Amino acid sequence: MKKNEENWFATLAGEKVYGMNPKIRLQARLVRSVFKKRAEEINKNINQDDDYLEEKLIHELEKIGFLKKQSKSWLEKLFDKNNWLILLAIGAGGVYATKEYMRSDVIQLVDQPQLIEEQVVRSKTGFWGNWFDAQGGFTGFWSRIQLEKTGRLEEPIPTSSTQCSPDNLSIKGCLALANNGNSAAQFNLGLMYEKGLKVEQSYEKAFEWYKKSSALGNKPASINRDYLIDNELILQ
Amino acid sequence: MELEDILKLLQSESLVLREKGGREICKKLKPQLMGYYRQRRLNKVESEEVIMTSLLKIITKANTVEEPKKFKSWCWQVARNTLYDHFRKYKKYKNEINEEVLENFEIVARITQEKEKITDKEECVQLGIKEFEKAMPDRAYIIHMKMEKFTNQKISERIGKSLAATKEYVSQTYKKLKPFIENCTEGDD
Repeated sequence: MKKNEENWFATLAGEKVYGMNPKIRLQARLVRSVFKKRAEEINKNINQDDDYLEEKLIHELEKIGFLKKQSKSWLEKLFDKNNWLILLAIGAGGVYATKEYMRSDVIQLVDQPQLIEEQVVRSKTGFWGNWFDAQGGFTGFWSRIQLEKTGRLEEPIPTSSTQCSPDNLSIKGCLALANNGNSAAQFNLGLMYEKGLKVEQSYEKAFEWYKKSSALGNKPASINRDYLIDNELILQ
Repeated sequence: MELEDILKLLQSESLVLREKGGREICKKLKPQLMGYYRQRRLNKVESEEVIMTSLLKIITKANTVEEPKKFKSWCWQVARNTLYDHFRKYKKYKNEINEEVLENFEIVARITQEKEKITDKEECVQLGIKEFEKAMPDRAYIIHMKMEKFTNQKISERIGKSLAATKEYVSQTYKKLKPFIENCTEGDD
């Protein structure tokens, strides 16, 4: 770029340039003045904007199905071309569960939320542990893959409450479970505060919930807690 | 929140995180896109319409972005293409697509006559820039970005050219603008 050009752009950007051609300087200043006025006028309108565009956008996304689960009939779901693997896995899970819980002298906990989140944590142990929970139910392996790929779990963990699940997180739903010592709900609360999901974002609160959850042995929570410390997002 | 973090949210399986991503990208890009579209002479209502279309495309196609580092320039590519689609849709913008349709000298000759009547220098420059914006809106946006102290790197992301090509484009922009404002400062040597 030639010197005159450089000086012209520098003056346009509002910098003081010494020793430049006065005519070029004047031109640049006049152009700056015209563009500045124009930009101020536009910015005035932008700042007056409210959130209605955001709400309209979310509404449109819901309308086109981006924020809604596709609902299929159970027959469609069952015979979906990719479902043979899931069917096989569920069948194998059933066999495994039957084998494990054939005896009646094992005390079974009814609707014990903690077991559900343990599906994610216990996935480190054994082949079956990667795919099924203690009851032999198919749990999938998404969380495990994500943990291995990023070192962090950034998705909510399913719990027994529909108000504290990956598809429907609510502070009330998660708090109710978390206060009863459910580490999955505690993890979800940590995630909500870390990401600012439906709550005001706070790394401190996120840290507290991750700490509680990891104290109950929740591995993803301890990874996320360490992440906050390592990245100096909270003061230790 | 950085764009790369927002991309993660948009690519998530969780509906809650996706919604969060949608809101975040709207907050992040809306003011920038509004500035961009308004600079390209769209009125407020038109700008909002184009912003909505751009954001919907960005959000729903975000899962096709494989490299998070390229997400920003990809967003601007979508924004530009949506703008050009808008120009094609409405005939009143037929000159906006190809800025080189009109030769400089034709316009300069026309506005020189008008400028002769004007004694105020700023008014004269204003008239020149108005014509420049009409004839070369892409280049007018370059001047705007330079005035806002954008680096060539940042400009290259917005206009979708390589850094070297952007430097050349910026330099050419100066040369293209010159004839539009040249006579306004005569007598100041």
